[in-house]
Amino acid sequence: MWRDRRLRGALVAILALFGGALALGLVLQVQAWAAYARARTEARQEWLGQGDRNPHDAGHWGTFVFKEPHPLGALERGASDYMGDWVRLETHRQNDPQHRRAKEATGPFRLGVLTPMTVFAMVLPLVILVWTHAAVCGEEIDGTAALVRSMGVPPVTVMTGKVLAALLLIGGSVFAMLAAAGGAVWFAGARDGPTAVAFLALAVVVLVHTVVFVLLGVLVSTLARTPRHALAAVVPLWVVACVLTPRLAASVAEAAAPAPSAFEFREALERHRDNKWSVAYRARGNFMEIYGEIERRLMEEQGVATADALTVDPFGLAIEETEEEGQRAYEASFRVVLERFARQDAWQRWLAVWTPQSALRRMAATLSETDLTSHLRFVDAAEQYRRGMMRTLNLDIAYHGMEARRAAGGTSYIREHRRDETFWHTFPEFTLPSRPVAAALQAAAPEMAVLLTWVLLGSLGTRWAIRRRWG
Amino acid sequence: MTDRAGHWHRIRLEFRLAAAGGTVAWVLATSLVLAAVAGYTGWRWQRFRVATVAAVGAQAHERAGTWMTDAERHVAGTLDPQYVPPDRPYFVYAFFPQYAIARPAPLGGLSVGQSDLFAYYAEWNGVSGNVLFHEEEIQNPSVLALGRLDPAFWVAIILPVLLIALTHDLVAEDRRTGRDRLLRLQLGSLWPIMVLRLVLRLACVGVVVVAMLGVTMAFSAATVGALPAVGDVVPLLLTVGGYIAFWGAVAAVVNARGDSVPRNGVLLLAVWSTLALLAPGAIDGLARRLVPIPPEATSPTVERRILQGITDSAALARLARLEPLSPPSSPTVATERRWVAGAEVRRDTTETRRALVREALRRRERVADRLSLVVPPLAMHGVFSEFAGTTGRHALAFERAVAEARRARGVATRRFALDGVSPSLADIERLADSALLQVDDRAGAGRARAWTTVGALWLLAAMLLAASRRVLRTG
Repeated sequence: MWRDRRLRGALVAILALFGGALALGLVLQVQAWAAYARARTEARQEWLGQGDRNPHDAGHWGTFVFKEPHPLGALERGASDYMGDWVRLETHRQNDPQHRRAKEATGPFRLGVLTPMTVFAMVLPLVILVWTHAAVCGEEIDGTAALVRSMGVPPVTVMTGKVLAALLLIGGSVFAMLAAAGGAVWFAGARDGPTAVAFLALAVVVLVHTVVFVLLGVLVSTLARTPRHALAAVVPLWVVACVLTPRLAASVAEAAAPAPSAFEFREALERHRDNKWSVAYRARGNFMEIYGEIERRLMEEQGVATADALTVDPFGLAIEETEEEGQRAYEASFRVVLERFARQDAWQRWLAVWTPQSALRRMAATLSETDLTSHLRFVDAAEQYRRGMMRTLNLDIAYHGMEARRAAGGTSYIREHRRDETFWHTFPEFTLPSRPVAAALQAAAPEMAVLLTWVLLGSLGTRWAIRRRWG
Repeated sequence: MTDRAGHWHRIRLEFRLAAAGGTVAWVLATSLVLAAVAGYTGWRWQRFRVATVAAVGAQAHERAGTWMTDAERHVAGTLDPQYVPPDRPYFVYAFFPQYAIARPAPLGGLSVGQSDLFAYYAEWNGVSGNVLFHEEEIQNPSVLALGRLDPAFWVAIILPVLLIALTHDLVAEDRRTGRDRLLRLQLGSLWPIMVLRLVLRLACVGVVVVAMLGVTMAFSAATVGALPAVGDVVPLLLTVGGYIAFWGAVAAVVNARGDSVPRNGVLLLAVWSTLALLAPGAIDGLARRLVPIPPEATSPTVERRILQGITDSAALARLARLEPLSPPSSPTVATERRWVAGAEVRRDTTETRRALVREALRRRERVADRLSLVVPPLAMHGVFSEFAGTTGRHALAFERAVAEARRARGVATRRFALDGVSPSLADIERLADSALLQVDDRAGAGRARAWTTVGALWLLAAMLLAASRRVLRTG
């Protein structure tokens, strides 16, 4: 097999392509890391250095939290370009993640992006299929097969030899590429245990995927009458598996479980909020109603005749109440969206069963935390952080606001109570703990099962086909 | 007469030979199925956007009515003062909502393009910040990353594979069996027979493509309720023709050299994978490299630092330089002036920064367009997106139009805030008349790009065909 000049040329081309993709991925990853570290530091400094300010003003000022790039993102970008890198946290609103990198891309970007995983998932299968398509039927035509059979070698042994030789040659190249990828990620600074385990899992998946395509190529070659027929079968097989099905899966998933439009989402949000905040210029009036209700209730509870005698500032509680109301509204609206996304994901997962390539890409995205689940984990963590932050700010007004008001002798409910840097320091910095590798592996288990099923079916199919052909 | 009869006989024979192989029927059947899926996907997205835009328009109309009623009550003094505080009479004007919609083009169903990433409608008022970025469509990121099987993808990426399946074996089998000598004796050269076979096969696919495009265009236009202009349809069809001719010409070159059917197939596949699968990422990367956007331009903390540096008093002084102000009539008016001036200058600063990014993105798109001219699949896809009005450039044009409208609204609002006067009913009526801005910036760039692509594709096809003829002669 190694004597095949075209194969050697193809492998050299793949290695060059992989080298380029890896270099590009690393450059982007290093840039993303630098941008993340800088942005995170700046956001923290900005929060701490906001000066003396009323806590509710600080809530409006808010802060930003950023998604940490995963080291394996250099190998597989998954859907990370479409998710947004940061979220603005502020009172009253659960903002969507911003800065989706795909928005800075050009039109061609939507047709494909070159990553190391693209080479493994798309280019390598094509080379394997084209190279192995004549493995059996070609030898039968040129008489080599008859010679081997005349020596009494069992057909299954011949087949096993062919598959192993192919695996040795292609697997060796894949191993070299994986080693280069691992080394590059290591030297880029990702030397922690979880990353190493995730990378090893990814390497195993890539090797299994390679095995699947070797088996498929040999199977088609065994079933086909001539190399021409085999080629006519493997090329459509590859186009369907690697080019067509992923897009088809996306289109089917979207048609089967359509997500609400952003407009419908906002409308539903306003309905859930009972229209209290639906129209911006009415907000002030509505808030004053809530404020008045709480003030009356507190005066009754504390048995005081005037609001000035209250020990708790109604403003803080009113803001907290509207905050919780907003959270419930957002939860209800997001529930619909997330349920649709989950159904779309289920459709895509089901369709991935039919193509090893989809299973590989999904697993790679899971392990490199560039999948939808990882993104939603970040969004949820950011929201929980925001809620905790706003609650602390609002309750600080409620339980310390009146002292400041009285001290200032003023009646304004917001300006007198101010906090300084010491208070801002009490808010811990946002961190998102990495997903445990075990959880990532568990999440990727169905796709792994799909790949192993393909290996099993490929092995059994090849064994059956060679027995059928050579008896 | 005898020659003509002989030609017809040859054409009929070649047609029967092509049909007898079964490949043509298989390719046409596959084409039809994929075309149906692609057409449905494109039309579905078009219908989704049309429905959303209609809902936004209806809301704009409804809210304008509500606001007019409130404005009338405000002028009559019967509106609850908590909604429009007496010290802020301009509130009734400032919060009047305005909307903008980018109407989907009649050919919008041909390509989803970048339209699923950018906002195509926006809502704002006289004092709102940059709301446009919150109106992006809700899309599953994993669906966005995979992309959709729309007509543009089908024609630009999948169609060439089907063409390769039909055209990789024009004369190679004849060479293998020695029939080529007989054909040379009959015709003097393999060129006429190769071109005849090529044209017959391409024509079969061409009919399916045109039919599919016709159906998609009809559905797409019916969804919008407007017919596509002839000036759009003609260059589009010529581009598709040029694209099919290009792939035919590539096949001709490969067939002219190759004497093995599998080798021809593999070679054509290699050309296709390079142009359709590897080139897009390379061109995007190159365009980004040539037109970088510094991280500071999009950093939210950097922007806030800049905005924080703008004090209300400094902003007021800047405004006063533009528009001389009379002394404030009351302390409330003075406070309000500072607040409004600060908000306006900050909004302008944000918009100026965004305009720089927008300009860089526009230049990136232009670089990518130029590079795409030598990568036919990208050029083809780009033309589809242009006519569908779904390129990033269209989204940026919409954003710019909204920014201009917001700026004009801000200037109109500040007049009342700075002077502390209550807007009249006539002022609000004027605002209600412009409550819905319809942005419809479609055809110009698309047509120019399409004609350039038509020229490039047909020129490439002609050059490649000439090369294949030369190869056959020398071979």
